[in-house]
Amino acid sequence: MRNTFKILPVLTGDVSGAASALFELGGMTVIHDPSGCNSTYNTHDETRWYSNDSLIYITGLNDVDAITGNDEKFINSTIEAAQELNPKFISLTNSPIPFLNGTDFEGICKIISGRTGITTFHVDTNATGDYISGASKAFEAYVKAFAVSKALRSTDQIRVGIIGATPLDLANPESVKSVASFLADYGFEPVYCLGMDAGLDSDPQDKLTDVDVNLVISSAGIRAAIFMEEKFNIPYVAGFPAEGMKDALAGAVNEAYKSGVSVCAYSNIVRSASDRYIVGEPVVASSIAAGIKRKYDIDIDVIAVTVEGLVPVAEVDAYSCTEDTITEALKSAGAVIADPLYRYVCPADAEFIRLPHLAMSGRLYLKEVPDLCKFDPIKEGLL
Amino acid sequence: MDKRNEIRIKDASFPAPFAAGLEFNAPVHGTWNIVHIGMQFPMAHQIYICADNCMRGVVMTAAEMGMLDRISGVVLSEEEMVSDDITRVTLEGISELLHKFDKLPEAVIVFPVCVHHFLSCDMEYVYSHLEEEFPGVIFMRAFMDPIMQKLHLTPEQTLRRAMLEPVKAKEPDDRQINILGCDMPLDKNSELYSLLTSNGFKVREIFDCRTVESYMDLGAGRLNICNYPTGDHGVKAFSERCDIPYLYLPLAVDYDEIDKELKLMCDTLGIEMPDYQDRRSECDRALSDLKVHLDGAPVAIDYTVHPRPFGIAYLLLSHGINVAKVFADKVTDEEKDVFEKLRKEYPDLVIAATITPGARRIPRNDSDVVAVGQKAAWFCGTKHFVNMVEGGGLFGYEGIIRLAGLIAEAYDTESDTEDIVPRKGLGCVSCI
Repeated sequence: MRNTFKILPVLTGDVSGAASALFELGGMTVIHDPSGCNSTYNTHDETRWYSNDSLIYITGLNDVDAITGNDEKFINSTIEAAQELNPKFISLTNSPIPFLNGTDFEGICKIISGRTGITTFHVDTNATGDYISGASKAFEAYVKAFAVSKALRSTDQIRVGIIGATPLDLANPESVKSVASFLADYGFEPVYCLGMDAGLDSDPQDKLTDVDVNLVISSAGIRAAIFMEEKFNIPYVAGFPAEGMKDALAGAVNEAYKSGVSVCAYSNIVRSASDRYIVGEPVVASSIAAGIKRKYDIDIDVIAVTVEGLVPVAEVDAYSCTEDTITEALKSAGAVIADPLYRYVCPADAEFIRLPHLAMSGRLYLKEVPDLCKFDPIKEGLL
Repeated sequence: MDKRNEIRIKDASFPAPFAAGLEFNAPVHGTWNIVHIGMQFPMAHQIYICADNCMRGVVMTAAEMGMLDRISGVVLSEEEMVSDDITRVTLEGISELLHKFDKLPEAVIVFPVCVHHFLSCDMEYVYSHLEEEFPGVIFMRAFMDPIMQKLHLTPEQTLRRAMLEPVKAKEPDDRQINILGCDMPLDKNSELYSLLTSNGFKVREIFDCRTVESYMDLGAGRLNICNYPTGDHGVKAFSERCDIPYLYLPLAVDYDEIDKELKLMCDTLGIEMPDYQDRRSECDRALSDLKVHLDGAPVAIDYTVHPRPFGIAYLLLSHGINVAKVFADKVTDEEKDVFEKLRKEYPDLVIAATITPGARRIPRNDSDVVAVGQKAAWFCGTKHFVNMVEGGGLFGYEGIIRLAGLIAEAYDTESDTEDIVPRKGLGCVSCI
C-alpha cells in the first residue's frame, strides 16, 4: 500500500515547520529548493508573513547546479544575503533534490560560518516529514547552537522556558500569551517562549539555560527539551495548560523542579477507551483530553496525527498519520473534535466539534481558531 | 538607492537588472498556479506524486478553491525515494488512488515532480499501464518540476501543453476561432473579440468548455490564437499537431503593435482590417484624462498585473503620467525594445526587485502611490491599487482605455490590500 491522500490535505511539511519555528528568532533561514517551498509556507502555513519581515528564502536551485554539484552558488548567495542583512544566525534546510544528491550541509555550514562569522546550522529536513519533525529539529538545532551554560538555579521562583510554540499549532496568538499568563498565575517566572511572541523576552538566544524547568507545549519542543535535559540537567514537562489541566500542569512543573525528573503532565491521568476522539498534535490534543477527563470525567481518545513519536500518548490513544489509518481509526466514532477538514473522513452521524488546526487546514478557518487554553467544548455545550 | 534591490533603468542591464541570489517570496498570490490552471479542464482530477512539503501547497490551493474533491496525492516517503523503484511507486500509488473512486474521473492530470527526473522514473511506462488499467480515463502528462524552470520549460508551460494534448483534430469548423493559453477570459469589448464576432466567427475559450466533449471541440478550430506568453508553447504544439493555423498575438500596449497584430489576424482570416485611428485618439484622450485625474501622483507597476509592465510604463510616461517604479526581476524578450526606449527616454525610471533578499526589508511606506498590480501595492504599502493579474483579459485599444479607467478608479478608492493580495488565484473561488 502506498501512502495516498484522496480527499484530505497533507499536514504542513517539515521544511515549513523548521521555518516556522525559527521565524521570530532573528535569523535567516535558507531553504535549498528550486521553488514552491517558500510560497507554500508563507501562503498557507505562516500567519506572520505579511507584516513581519523575517528572513526566509529559497536558493532557487536549478537542475544543472544540482547535477553538477555546484554548491558555490548556494554558498555565495547565502553569504551575500547575510552580509547585506546581518542576521543573528543562519539556518540551512534541505529539500528532496539536495537530499537525494547528498549535499553536504554540515560542510556548507562550516564554510558559511567561517566566511561570515555568523553561527550557521543545518536543520535536517528533506520535505518528507511533517511540520513537527521540522520544527522540533529546528528548535533543537537552535538550542544546540546557543545554549552554552547553565545558570544557577533560582531559589525563590521557579523559572520556566516555554518551548515548542509555532502558529502551526497555536494559530490564535492569544493561546501562547495565555500559556505565559498561566505560568505567572501559578507563581512561576516565565522567562521566554521559544518560537512565538508571548509577551516575554523576545530574544532568548542568551538566556536559553536561565530556566529551571522547560515546558514543552507541543511536540515541536521535545527534541530541544531533551537536549537541554541531557546537556544541562534542566528537566522538562510536556503538557499544555488546557481547561481542566492547569492545576495538574502546575503541579508537574513543581514536581519536575523538585525531582529534576522530566514528565508528561497528562500521562498519569488515566482515560478509558471511548468512541469520542480528538484529532491533532499529541501534546495539545492529549492535554485537552486529559483536561476534559479531570474536569468532567469524560473520556476522549487521542489520534495524534504527527509522526514524531518522542512524545508518548496514552494506551488508549494512537499515532495515525495517513488518510487510510485516520479514516479507519474514526470509523466508529460517535463524536470527534478535530480540524473541520477531518469531517470528510468521519462517519456522517458522528457529532463533530470544529477545532481548526493551521497545520491541517492552513488559513481556511483561521478566524475560528480559539485560544486553546480556554477551549472547553463541554462548557460550550458542544459535546 | 541600494542597487541590489532598486536601480535606475539607465543603469540596468537586459534581461536581468539584478544579480541572481537567494529568493524572497512576497505575500502576494493573485496570479494563478498550476492547480488553478488545471481546474480549467472540465472536471479533471489532479494527482500529484511528491513529498509532503511539496504536496502541501497544491492541495491547499485546491482546498482554498473548495475543490479538495478534485485533487489527490501519492505521498513519497524518504524510504521510497532512496530505496524503492520510483516508477513502481508512482504507478502503484496512482492506481491505488483511482481504485478508491466510486466513479472514475473522466480525465486525470498527473503531476510527477523534480525527483522523478532525478530518479529516472519511466513515466511513459506508468502512463501505458494506467491507460491499460483505466481505459476510459484521459491521462494528461503534466509535471510539477520547478527545478527545470530556469533553464527549460516551466511547470505552467508543460501543463498548458498537456491540457491540450488530449484534443484531437476534428473536421474544421470554419467559423470557430480558439483563443487559448491565458487564464483570463478575453474582454468581449476588445477589438480582437469584436472583429471576430462581427465577421461571423464564434470565439471559443477554455472557459466556455463545461464538459469534456465540449472541450474536445477545440480540435475543430479554424484558427488558434494565444495571447499570453506562457501559453504560447502549448498552444503552438497543439496547433501543429492538429494542423490548425496559429497566431501568437500578445497583449500589446503599443498602438503600432496592436495594429500589427490585428492586421495579421485579419489577413489570416481574409477579413477587412478596420481603421483604428479613432480608437488611438480615444486612447490618447483616456490617458490625457488620467494624467489630469492623477494630478502628478506617482504610479508603480508590477510584472504580475500584465506581461508588459515596461510597455505600460512607457505608455503612461509618454502621456505625461508620473510612473515612478516598475517592479520586475527580469525583462522578457518581448519587452527588450521598449526597455531600450525607456532607457533612452526615461533614464531615471526605477526598477525595483521583488525577489532579492533585501526586497524583504525595503520600507513599504509609499502610501501615496497608485499601484498597478498587487505586488506593487504590497511593496509600496498602498491601498490604492489596480487589482488585476495576467493582463486581466484586456486587449488592444479597448484594453488601454479600460486600464486607464482602472488606474483612475484605484486613485479614487481605497482597497483592503492586506485582505486581498494574499488570496490565491484572482478570479477563482476563494474560501478564505
